[in-house]
Amino acid sequence: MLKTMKKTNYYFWSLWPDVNFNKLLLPVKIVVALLLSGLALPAFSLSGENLKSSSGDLLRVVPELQQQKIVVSGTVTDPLTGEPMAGVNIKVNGTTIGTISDMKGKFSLPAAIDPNSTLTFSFIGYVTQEVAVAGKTVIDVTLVNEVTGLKEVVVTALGISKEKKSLAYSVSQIQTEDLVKAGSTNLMKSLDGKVSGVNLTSLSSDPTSSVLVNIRGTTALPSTSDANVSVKGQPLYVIDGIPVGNQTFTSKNGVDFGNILSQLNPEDIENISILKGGSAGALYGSDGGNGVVMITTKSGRGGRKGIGVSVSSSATMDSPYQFIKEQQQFGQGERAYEWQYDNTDTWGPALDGTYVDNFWNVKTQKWDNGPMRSSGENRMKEYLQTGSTVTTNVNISGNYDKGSFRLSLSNMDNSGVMPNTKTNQKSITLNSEYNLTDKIKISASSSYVRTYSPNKANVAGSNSILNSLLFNFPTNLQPLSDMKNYWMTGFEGILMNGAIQKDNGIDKSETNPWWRTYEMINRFSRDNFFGKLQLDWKLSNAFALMLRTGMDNIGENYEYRQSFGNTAFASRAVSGDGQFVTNSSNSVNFNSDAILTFNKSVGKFDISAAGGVNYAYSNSNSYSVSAGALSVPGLFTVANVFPGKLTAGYGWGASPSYSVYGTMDIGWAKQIFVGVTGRNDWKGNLPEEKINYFYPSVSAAWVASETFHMPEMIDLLKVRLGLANVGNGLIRSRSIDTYTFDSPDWSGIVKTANINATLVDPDIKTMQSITKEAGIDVWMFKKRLLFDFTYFVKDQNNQLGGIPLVQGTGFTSMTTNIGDVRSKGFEWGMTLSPVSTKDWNWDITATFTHYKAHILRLSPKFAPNGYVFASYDGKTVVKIAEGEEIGNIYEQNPILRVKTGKYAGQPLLDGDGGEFQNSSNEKDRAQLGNYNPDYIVGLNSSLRYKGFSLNIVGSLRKGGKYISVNQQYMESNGRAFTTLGSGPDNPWWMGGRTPALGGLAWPAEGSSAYDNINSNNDNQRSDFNDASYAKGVFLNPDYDGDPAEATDADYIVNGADPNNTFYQFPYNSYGDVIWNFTSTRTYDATNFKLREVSLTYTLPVSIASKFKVNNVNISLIGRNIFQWNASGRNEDPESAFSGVGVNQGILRATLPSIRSIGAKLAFDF
Amino acid sequence: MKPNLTKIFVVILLTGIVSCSKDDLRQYDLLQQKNAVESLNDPYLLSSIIKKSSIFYQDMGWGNTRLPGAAQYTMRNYQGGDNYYSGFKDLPTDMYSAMDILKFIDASIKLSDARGSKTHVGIFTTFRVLLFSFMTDFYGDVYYSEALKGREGILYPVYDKQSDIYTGLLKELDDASTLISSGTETISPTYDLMFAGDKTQWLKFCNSLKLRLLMHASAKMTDAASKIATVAALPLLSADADMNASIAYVGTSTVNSWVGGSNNWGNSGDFEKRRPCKTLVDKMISLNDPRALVWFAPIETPWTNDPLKNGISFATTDPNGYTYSSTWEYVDATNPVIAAQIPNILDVDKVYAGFVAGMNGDFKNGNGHWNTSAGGAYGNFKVSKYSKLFQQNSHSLLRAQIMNKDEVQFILAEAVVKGLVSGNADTYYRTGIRYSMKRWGVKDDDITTYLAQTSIALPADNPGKLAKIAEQKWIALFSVASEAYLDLRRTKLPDIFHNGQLATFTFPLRYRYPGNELGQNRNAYDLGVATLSPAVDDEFSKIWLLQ
Repeated sequence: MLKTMKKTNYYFWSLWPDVNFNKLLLPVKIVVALLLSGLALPAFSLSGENLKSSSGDLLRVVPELQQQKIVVSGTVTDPLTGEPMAGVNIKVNGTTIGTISDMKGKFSLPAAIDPNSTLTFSFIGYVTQEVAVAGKTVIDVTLVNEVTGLKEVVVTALGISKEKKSLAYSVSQIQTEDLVKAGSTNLMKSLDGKVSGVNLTSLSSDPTSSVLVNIRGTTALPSTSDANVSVKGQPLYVIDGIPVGNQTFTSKNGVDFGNILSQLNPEDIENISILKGGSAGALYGSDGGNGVVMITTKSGRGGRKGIGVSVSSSATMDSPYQFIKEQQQFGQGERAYEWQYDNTDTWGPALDGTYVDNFWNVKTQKWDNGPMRSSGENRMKEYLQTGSTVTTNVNISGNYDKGSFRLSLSNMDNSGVMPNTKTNQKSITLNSEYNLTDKIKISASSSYVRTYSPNKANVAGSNSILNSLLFNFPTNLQPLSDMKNYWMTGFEGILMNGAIQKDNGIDKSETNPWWRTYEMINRFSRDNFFGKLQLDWKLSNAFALMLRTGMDNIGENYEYRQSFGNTAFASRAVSGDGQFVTNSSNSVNFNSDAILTFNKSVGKFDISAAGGVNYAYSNSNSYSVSAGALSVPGLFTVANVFPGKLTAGYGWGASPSYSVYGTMDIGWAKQIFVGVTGRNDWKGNLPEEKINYFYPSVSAAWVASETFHMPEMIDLLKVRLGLANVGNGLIRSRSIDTYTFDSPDWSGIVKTANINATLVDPDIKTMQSITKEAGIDVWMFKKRLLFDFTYFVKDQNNQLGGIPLVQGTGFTSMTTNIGDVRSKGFEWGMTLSPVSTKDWNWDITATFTHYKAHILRLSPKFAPNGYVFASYDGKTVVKIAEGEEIGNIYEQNPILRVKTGKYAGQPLLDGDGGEFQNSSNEKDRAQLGNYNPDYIVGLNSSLRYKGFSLNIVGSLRKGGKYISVNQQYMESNGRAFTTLGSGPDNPWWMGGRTPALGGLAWPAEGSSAYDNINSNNDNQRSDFNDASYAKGVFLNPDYDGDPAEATDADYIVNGADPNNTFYQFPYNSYGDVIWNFTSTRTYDATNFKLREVSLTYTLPVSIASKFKVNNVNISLIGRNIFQWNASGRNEDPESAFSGVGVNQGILRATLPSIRSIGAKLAFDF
Repeated sequence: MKPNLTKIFVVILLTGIVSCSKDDLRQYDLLQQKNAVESLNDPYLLSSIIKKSSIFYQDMGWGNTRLPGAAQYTMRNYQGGDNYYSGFKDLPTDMYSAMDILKFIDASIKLSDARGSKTHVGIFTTFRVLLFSFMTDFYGDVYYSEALKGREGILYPVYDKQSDIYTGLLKELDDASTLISSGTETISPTYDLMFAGDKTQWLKFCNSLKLRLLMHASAKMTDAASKIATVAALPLLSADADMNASIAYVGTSTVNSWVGGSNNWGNSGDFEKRRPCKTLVDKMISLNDPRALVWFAPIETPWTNDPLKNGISFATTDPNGYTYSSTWEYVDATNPVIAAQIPNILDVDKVYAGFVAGMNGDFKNGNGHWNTSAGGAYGNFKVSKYSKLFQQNSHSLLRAQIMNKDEVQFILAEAVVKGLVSGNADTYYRTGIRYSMKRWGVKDDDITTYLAQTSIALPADNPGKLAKIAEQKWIALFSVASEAYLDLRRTKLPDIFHNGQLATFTFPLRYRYPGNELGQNRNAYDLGVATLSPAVDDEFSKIWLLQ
């Protein structure tokens, strides 16, 4: 054998080209010497011209070519910038000879090649190009950008990648570069304006706030116990194939601490696929009923060979703008001639300096006497500061023949616009994969993310400092800067120096905002580990097996510390002061899948199928200990609890689920695609809770442009149809009474208990979510115009939930199939590239979203009236009735009006004080509006000139209404400008605070013919002309018949005859009454936001290479630069919530808009 | 190929999948706890029902000002619609609070019945009657026979006629007394917060409640006389040794503290907003009632017509040892601010004065309080506050009351005068006064002195007797305002309906149905409204008891 080999020269190479054996042209004897040296190489046999190993064809030996070979080199350039391209893969077809281009775009093949061979140039984001050598030794190539299009591959359910062309449903995919352009640290916020069919709602303008995602509108039915449908309709999130549940937000003490999504570092995300339709998400079962958001993290695969390091860093300044304005002319009190020191309403005297009174000088901590003047400051503006966000990401990736890895480290420091608030996020992610053999790949990914907030403040709802500054701070109080010393000197940590002190000089009457800032601390940390281990085994050409197990572990710790100072000094001995709450929770979710896939083409048919099993288990526990008051100041421990103020809680939950699923896609002649999926789930812990469900889906797409000859300009025309039926995976609830002991106990020796009764309809049925969609895709002009349109109908039938019962049944609600909700709508997306030249490139993307959801049917067991009002924010209600649109808000307290006659529609004032009255008849409740926009338009413009690119993202939300609780309290507390005087157009009220502002003269004593009017007016009369009255009619006090039968003659118009008018001073008629009626403060929510602007300069390679770096991008970034509100009010209708994610459409004391401006630097080396 | 490595990885993955399988311990926990949380032992049921019912009643009697305002015990010094009945315009949802307790009671009856705890079932039934009687007394026709049957499929229970409810409740009380007597199990003295495990007291409470209900319906029931006579002969909460149907507070948390105490305040203003009503203060002062010193605090700066007393301070210590300091202020007509208040100054040279009935609740109202910048929104210095006793979270004199034994005496006194039972009205009347005074810690000598006054003696004529009995019952029912309101409505005595500013306000006769009834239980609601007179769901329509 050796003898034979001696005769010829051989060279050989590994099957894995990177080993670079091909550089070695070794005489056979050396090979043999190597083989004989005992190295771990298998035994060989010579078979023909091949050197064959006994265990396979590890080495192949071919005869040295007789033909004259040539050495080829050249340069690769970018089509648009004309700059040299580094890192381009160059391969000689049919061989393993290859190389990559260097920093200057130059390449030189390492071995001489056949002059007739063909070279393949490939680079991510560019069309792979083949060039025939044809004897040339220098080959210069300009690559072509890959247009989003024909070959685009999207990640679909179970992590299976599919060619977009073959999909029968609508999927939106956003790539990493679109997420990180504007340097957003919040993954979900960076989606806004970029996807169609999705409504993203930020809980607040804070850059770290949570985002609610509603795909194609929520079809959740409101129930009386929970009318927050926007929270209920959240999609399923899947990270690298592992479902992580329907994420909403973590709210502690009214503070939004985000969720595991808000922790994800956008730089680590490869792409996000949003599976909007039922067919797309059906494989995830009931959890995917609201759509699925698939997040794929970056791996090292596909990058440059060898080690690469990329670094990016950004810093932004976050500054609030659009502050609510309040009147600053009047100070504390109820009437303009009368000062009331501890009344925080500002219906009092004018602050023109003429009124002199005692006041607590917060700065000197003494009682002073002086003229009352306005501080002249906008409290919110004075209080808020410029925040900052600094992020740094470093990642190291390695890409080798046998595998790849990517290690990413990131750090984010956010200093909030609320003083003394901070958030820090750190993450470490390691993704790696390794090819055990050419058929078996294993991959593992792991992440550790930590979020820590030493303090984060409540920025929504009644408990926030903003609420206090807006509504409880009379303008005459000293500037906030004078209040900074919030402890009484000598009593630090014990006695608060209140914004207003009580007349005893010891206790505060109004909390000092700085005390709230520094002594009410919400501390939070979240540690999140998640990862997966996956094995992909290519069993044969047709079959592949995937085994995957993933884990997600979240630990959260929360502490609330409130110092002494809030309880009256005298009461401390009996009730303590301060507060300390600590709670901790831990949850772990496991998800394991085994999936067998099959892919084969038979004739014109392409068949791909997959079948799998899933086992998921979650286990969680939490405990909380609350010291409602402390014994001694400054010691935040549970042991320091004030006697009798300790409460503790402990809870756990566990849920297993087993599923099998399958999917099959058949394509015919690359023009007709049909897909079916099915899934069956088994859920439930206790035997009587166990239940199983099956959900199928079917979809079809027809690429018409493959069937018929299309005009040249049409690249693709596709029609698609989808139908899916997803059942509900809730466990079967039991109809039982359970008892829990009250906490705290009645006394040290006696416990008491409470009953929790659940009533479940014995005839309960499975819930069905049926979605239908039809769409069309058109790609034209060499993909310069891409358009897709989808019409969808999403039915959520037999929804499970509680129907409200009258308490006479002994139950507040019964779990049953409440009814059906249907969401209908359409969405379109369009990408246009009007300019595409070597130097210039301009892409415009527009997205459009429109949907409306209605209640189609209600259970016959529902209220006999067919409707029920679910309480909402206290002043508003939500109606549950057939035909009702989801998102409608009704007034809780309608103004009582005359029903018939010529005064029909006029407010019917009461007969004692001439004030507006509530109508107690539910039928009088009018719809205030719907908080959902009529449509959402997203606009995305990307303009590039050579190395410069300018990206702009904006979104318009048209339509919808919101109710301003701000206005409510500003009216009640005399802060709103409308409370100064009625003016000519006021529909409710006539009069004013002072004669100059329209205040009317009081009638003489006894001037009315009616006792009630005299009695009312006498009670309120002053010699100061501040009379005002409500516009409406009242029943003649002498009329003693049935009010329902009164005729026109029995009514008296208030204000028509000054002697027979019920007058009230403004505080009484406006501040005490009008604010009750929600219809008076409902506003248009239409708004436009310029969400992102970024200007990026990419350093030419020629310059970058001098510094040994690559892909250097320097950006100026801006987010939320500008906002326009149709209502003209300085309120962000998008963050209209009455608390953290509570009661959408109700805006209460939220942060103003926040503009972030900064810079970003990114480079590789 | 490295098949071994592959195998190793497959094994690792499968191990991973299996090892994160279900948590067997949790499965076991679930099954084990299932039984534990679905049942509760008698003592816990008993303490819970007593607590819930007592707190509910005390909240109506004191916590909420709707009924204390209507009975003119308490006037609000701040935003005081309850001073002139406007709380009745709303749709009070107390019916639902009562239903919540009734749900617990019904479930308890089932649990105890299954264990054969007859005495407990009897006690629970007594509370069931108590709460249903509250509902029908205040609203009229309400759920009764179809109530609490959601699990039996009755989702929209209809209302029963009030007359039928009364018949049913009286029958239930008969059953309850039988059960209490026949049960042999012991009652935990510790968990029996009301009668410390004394079965006889429970029996007496059951009978006393029956007497109360029969008196409520005495004008409507043809056989009221015989029924009352029968009950009067049964053991009642009537002896010196008997206890009251009330519980003591612990005072360590909001739930176990006196409803007026600091644990239940948002701030001290919550205490100062509530002032004793002039009607009550004047009546008690005129009768030299020693309870007034227990209940009311001296005015902080009382008015005087004597310029020499101006600025002179004096201290007062009340019977419970709480101290107060007051400073006289001269009605100085030369001071224009005070001169302007003279028409409002009703009480001069008095240490105790009340807030005028039916006044707009406002800091300025009430006896010419003028120093508003010092007083603030509710700091009126010219009208008495309640004594510091009522600021306490717990005190031996402060109890969550359902029924006191003085009430039993007054019912019997009224029944005698009306000829429903035989006996000595004067004895019942005086015993009632004595029990009430002892309940508030008044010494025996002072009681004797009080009773010896001619102003206390019952007149000869029956209407006069009834008025006098009603007056003392009204005083005795202070802080049990729910019963006081029902008596005022039933007997129109004492005649306080035109006091102060109340001349133009109509005394309300019932609660309007809670809003949900109209929306969700329309058929029942309509039928309920139809039996009102007139058939309108407002606070002035008459229910069967008043028709």
